[in-house]
Amino acid sequence: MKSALLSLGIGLGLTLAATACSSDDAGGEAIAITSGTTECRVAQTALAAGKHRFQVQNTGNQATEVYVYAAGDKVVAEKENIGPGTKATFSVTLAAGTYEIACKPGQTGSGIRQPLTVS
Amino acid sequence: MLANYLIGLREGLEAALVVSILVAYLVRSGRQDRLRPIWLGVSGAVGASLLAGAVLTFTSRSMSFRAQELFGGLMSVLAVCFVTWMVFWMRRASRHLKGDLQQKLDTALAMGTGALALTAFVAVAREGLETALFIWTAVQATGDTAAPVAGAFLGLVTAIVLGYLLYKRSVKLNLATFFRWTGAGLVVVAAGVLAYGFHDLQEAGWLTAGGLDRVVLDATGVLPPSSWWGTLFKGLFSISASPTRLELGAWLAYLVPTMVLFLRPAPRGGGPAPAPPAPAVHRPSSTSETVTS
Repeated sequence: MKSALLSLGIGLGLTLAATACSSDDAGGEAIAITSGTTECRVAQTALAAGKHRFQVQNTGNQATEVYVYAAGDKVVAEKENIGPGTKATFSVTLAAGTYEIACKPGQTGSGIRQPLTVS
Repeated sequence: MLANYLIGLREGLEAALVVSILVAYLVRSGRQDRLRPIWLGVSGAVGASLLAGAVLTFTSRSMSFRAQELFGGLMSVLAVCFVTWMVFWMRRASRHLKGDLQQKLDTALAMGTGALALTAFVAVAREGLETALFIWTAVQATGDTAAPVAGAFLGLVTAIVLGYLLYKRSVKLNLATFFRWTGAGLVVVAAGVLAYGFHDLQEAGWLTAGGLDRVVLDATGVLPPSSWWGTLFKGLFSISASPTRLELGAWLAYLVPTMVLFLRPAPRGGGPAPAPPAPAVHRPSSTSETVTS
């Protein structure tokens, strides 16, 4: 029993440490992305280079996922399993360049794309 | 509602499978007294996930995309190590089940208690953080409508009920059949978890071989993620319907040798019980890279 508790303590500690260490404040307001059945609205399409927080609101009737693609569809960030009527937040550090934000209602296909410029 | 239900079901299904097999195994070997560490592991993981998820949802803290994928990926690899250890540990211990070697079984169980608790912990915690984030954001959305949280919650409950039914069914099976089927089932689940973990590590930028856009085959046409059958497939086998080359490579590189080792006939004769080793640190990456690159 003692060893079980000990191992558990280690496991618990690791999980919480992983969350605590890697989380930090991504300053400023989150940039809103609205993922609907046929739309993908991004509140700001020109950003300064640096760390940004995005908040996705799924207004469609299917689960959705949102990708941030760099040139050549290289995945920079992705948030999947956003249920209908729910929101999800993710943060990502963006270097200057051109990107595309893709909303994928139904979690398949290449999605509805919006250009994003980071300077 | 349905979409949220399916997300809850999928996230919960795999953990429910692993835990119900662990519990069935201990009940079958008459060691109900060893169930407490399992429940400790499960509740510890649920608690830690809910806590970490709440911190990330209700404070301005946020986990970067890479950190989140890295956490998911490493937890998956860890889960595969533990489940693999558990399968072979069950296989070894089952040889002493005949009764005359009860004492050796007891020794094996005593040494495995900590690892059993950790196996249950890791199995639940792997998807736990993501599920907790999903649940908390659904709770946040209840200002507008309670449907998302109700759907997600019902999905998780269904996963637990399915786990319970599996337990009920498997304790009735003949002992040899029970070991063979649950063990083989766990190996398939672990292979899927490994592939999924490699996908996360690819997204975190840790593994660059292949690339995320290199999808070998795309079965999302027959297994759409928004359908209930696509959900069950993903929940049971964990493997994505559109795997990358590295994912598929890792899946095969793990599944084939592990299954062969597991199904090989047990050596006859009652030699001394081998002590259960600490969970072996598998380095699946080295084998799979030769396959995929």
